[in-house]
Amino acid sequence: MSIETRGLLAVAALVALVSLAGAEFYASVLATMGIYALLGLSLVILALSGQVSLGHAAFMGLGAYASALLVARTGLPPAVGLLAGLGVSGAAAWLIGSATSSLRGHFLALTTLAWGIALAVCFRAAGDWTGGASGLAGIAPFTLFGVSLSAPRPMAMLSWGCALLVVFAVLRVQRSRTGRALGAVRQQELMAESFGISVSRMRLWTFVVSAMVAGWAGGLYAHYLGFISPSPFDLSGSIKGLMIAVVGGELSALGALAGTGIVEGLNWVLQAVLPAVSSSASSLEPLFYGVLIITVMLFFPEGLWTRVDRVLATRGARPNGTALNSRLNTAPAPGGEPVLDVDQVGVSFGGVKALDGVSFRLYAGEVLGLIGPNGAGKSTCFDVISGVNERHAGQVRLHGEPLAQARARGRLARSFQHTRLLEDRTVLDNVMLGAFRRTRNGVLAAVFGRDTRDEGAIAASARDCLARVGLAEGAQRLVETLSLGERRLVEVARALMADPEVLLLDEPAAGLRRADRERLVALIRALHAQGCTIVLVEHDMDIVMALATRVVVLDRGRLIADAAPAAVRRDPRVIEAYLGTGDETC
Amino acid sequence: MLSVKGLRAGYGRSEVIDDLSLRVDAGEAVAVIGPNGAGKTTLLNALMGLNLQATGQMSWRGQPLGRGTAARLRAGMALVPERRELFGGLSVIDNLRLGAYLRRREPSSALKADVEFVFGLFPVLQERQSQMAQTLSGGEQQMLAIGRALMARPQLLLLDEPSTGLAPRITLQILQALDGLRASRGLALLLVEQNARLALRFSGRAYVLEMGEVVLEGPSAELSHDARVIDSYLGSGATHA
Amino acid sequence: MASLDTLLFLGVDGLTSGAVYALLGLGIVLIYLVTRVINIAHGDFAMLAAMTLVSLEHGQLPGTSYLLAAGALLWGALAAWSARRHGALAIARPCLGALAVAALGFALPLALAAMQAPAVLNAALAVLMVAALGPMFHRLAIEPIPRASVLVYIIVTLGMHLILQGLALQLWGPQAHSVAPLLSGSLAIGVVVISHQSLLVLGITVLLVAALYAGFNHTLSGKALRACAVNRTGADLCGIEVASAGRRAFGLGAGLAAVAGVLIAPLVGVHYEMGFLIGLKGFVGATLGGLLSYPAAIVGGVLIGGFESAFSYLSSAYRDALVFLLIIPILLLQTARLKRRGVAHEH
Repeated sequence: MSIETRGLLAVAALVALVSLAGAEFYASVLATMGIYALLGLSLVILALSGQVSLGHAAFMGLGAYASALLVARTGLPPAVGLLAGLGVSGAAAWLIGSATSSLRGHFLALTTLAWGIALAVCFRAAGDWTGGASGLAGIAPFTLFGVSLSAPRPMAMLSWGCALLVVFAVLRVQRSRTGRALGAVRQQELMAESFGISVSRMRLWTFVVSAMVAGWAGGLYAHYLGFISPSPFDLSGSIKGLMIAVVGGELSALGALAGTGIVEGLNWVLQAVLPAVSSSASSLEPLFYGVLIITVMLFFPEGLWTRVDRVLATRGARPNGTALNSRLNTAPAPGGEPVLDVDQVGVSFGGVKALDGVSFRLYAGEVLGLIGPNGAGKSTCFDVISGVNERHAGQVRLHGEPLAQARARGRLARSFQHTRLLEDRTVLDNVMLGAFRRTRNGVLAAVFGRDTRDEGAIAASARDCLARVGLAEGAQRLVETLSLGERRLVEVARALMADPEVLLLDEPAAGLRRADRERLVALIRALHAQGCTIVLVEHDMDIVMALATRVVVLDRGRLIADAAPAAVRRDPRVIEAYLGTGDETC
Repeated sequence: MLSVKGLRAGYGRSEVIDDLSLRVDAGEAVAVIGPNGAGKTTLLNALMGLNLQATGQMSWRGQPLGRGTAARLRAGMALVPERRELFGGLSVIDNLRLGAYLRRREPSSALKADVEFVFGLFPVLQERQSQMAQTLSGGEQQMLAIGRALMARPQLLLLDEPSTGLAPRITLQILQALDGLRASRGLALLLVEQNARLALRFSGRAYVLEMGEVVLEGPSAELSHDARVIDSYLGSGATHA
Repeated sequence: MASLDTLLFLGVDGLTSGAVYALLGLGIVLIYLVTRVINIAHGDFAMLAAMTLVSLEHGQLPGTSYLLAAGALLWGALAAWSARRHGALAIARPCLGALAVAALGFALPLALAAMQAPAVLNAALAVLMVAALGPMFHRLAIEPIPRASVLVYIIVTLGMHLILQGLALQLWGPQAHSVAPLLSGSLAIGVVVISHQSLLVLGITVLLVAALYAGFNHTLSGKALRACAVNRTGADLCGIEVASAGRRAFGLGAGLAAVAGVLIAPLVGVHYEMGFLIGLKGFVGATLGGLLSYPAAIVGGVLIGGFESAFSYLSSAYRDALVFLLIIPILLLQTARLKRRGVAHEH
């Protein structure tokens, strides 16, 4: 049993103890805490995919009103109402998320602020349904076998039970394939897409799930208090949820629990202390919250719990198993049909021809060097053949299949010159991400533990890849502690994990010191010996000449040479392209 | 005039330049050539105070240079960056005026004379003076970038790959104009270029930079016949272990 | 169907509030362009200016003086601390400066109260005091975290909003205050009656827009500010101090919001919550240009004002909801336009 699970059980036990044995007052504090913990958790879930919402309390309100109204009008049990609340908030999130899915960053945040306020206004205005500003009273409590669960003691256990379940689920998901994918969606969108992760779909689904958790909190709130009004569901509620998430650490489920403790604790202290100071002191609460937010943002922008999370991440036990089958183990027969066929490719950026009529072929087992002076179009060419740039003239085919098709793109894997790794995860996690296309386990599989075997296989394969690149001992280190040379090796290992037909390496040696460069050269040599087909873009001529079996030279968007390294080096056109001419003739 | 010793500069994790020394004397034209990734742009950015991670001794006319770009502009250095970094939405003449921002308290007649001077050097800028900078062609933008740097009345002009994206004829035109300035006004030039032959033709002395280190230096006339320069760009042909 | 009279009335009403939203939008765009900060607390500047005016009208010391003093002293302390190794003079200078600003913050209102200053002077002082809060805001809340993401800045300004609004509640209480209009009386055009104050709002907005335009296009410091927004590296290379550009932007932006607050104060009740919502509506208007264009912010502000009047007429309870929901089609239009031009998102 992992540390986290033990911790969660301990918290559960503590909550049960206080709820049952302590004074009723403490139980009621715990009950509200549990509900707000859920709201904070909903924002943590959202933050995992890199999104921020400043209007999430509106979803809580939707869940609350939907459940209360359904139960009031149909007499169905509150549990059903709760599910209805989930459905309504989820559906609303689906609509809003689909409409705003193309928005990023602060525009998304502004939109959430806007419709959060809009919904709050609607709650107040739709008097016939919601009772307007005076609210809805007489909401049925939860009952089990005739016993009301809406008393503080059972409610404390119920709300915390829900919150701990969500924390458990989030922790499970973070350790899984979906968790790795979410990390990529949050930190490195371009890299995520290149490994087959659909960024927009993941963001939408995370948004919906997060709204549903908020709606769940709303339903619990409604049936606990028996009365709801629009005020907890407007901006102040959203800010409270945001504070809980931010104080604990926006990306930390456990942090949200800590955050709830701090925020609610502060709330409690203020309510107890302030009235003694001044009669209007309760209105000072927002002021203190403001100071709290700014203090946290200025001094602890990562939240208070994130350090702990990082340590836990490195300590966690890793699954194991037999490695996945890999095509890289069988060396293909060299020659024959080309693996990659680049045919008359042209790319224009606003009138400038970055590539013009470029054609070449790649055969199995080759190491193809792609070189050229600055501005020759190497990166553009690389983007075309790795499938990133789809707007081009001409065709690129992988084993005859056009690269425009996702399936063909899935058989390539690339490394990035400006390394695109998940900084807050271990090396092993990063490498495991490369296998995203090779298994299918989703959120449910992760939560219910049905993905253990696949995860074990992926982990074993990842260890193999790390061993191949020479980083076997670094598996449990956090990426942010690696040197540049080691990061480049992780990039290669991750690309190998995708089990690709062609390995595309983007300036892997750029900026490396001598020792790291030699390591890299040795690695690529070894991969070549094992039969990998590689395309290598590089500036460093020594490396290209040493490793490439064939070299393609670009200059100002055109292909000027396609031959063995020695021949290219003597080619006067190539020399002229690199060193330039001294006079004005072109 | 400009003396650099033991310069170290890099970005974040990677250290691009390690213990580099060079000098430029008044009225000299010095070239820095080398393959891509050698650190040429990092060098110029560090010299101009844009790279705050840089350490080392930089002195100007015997006095140590203060931190930051403004100190260098006041001392008499100006940089024409590789990407030009013009103010696209502002007019040509506004770009020029902003180049003299630190001199804004000087009498307007002096500043006007400088603008006229730049127009004399690059007449096409005068034609297009009220057009927005982003509507100019590549060559015209390069001229504007140089003009803007000249507005600071520098004694040393740093140029980062002025030939990028330009037709050879225009590059030649620009370099000839700068050479003329050197003759008439004693403007020193530090020219970083990938086009080695062109750079060697327009300079008296050159450094060859490879992997952040100076591997060759000497009079440009000699270097232009040195086979080691070709090795530097195209590799030596020897394999690594 | 609405009669012509109603339409005219709505039109005037919409135009007046539209002018206010446009002013706020201008300040928001200015601040965003130069500093990349989305200032959620922008509307609170307007509220503070209106509140300051209320106090000045009644010959009382406005709470803003305390805010200014606190901000100045904190800034002075920070500056003195960072200069601690440069000798006594370097330490003394910021301290004295801070004390001077704090003293002025108290002296000027008292002076105006003593001489029973006319409304115009009161308004001018209110604007000045709140504009001075702008650079303090930047120095204390934004400069300590120079490389934070835009989202972090949003949360920080959200925190500032809570603080400013909370302080306003403490200093001026929860009730609404009223302020005498700068220009009383009204004008009748046909059947429509426009108050002189509304005309003043429109007039001053036009004047300010013209002044901003002139400043940004015809003064070197205005162009330098624009340059910082357009190309930071280029600005560095010209020796333009990019760091202080942020403070100037905040000062100008807060000043614009303060003018809006002072102008609108006689037309609506002044209370501690009034600023936030109108600031957000200014945001919705400014997003018409993706927060990057002054003309778009003006047009957007006026449109929001117009829509708000129309919605008011159709359904006053849901009016604000509808106004805020407008942000969705606006942003979608924006994104579609950007995609067509093929510009990379730099959010």
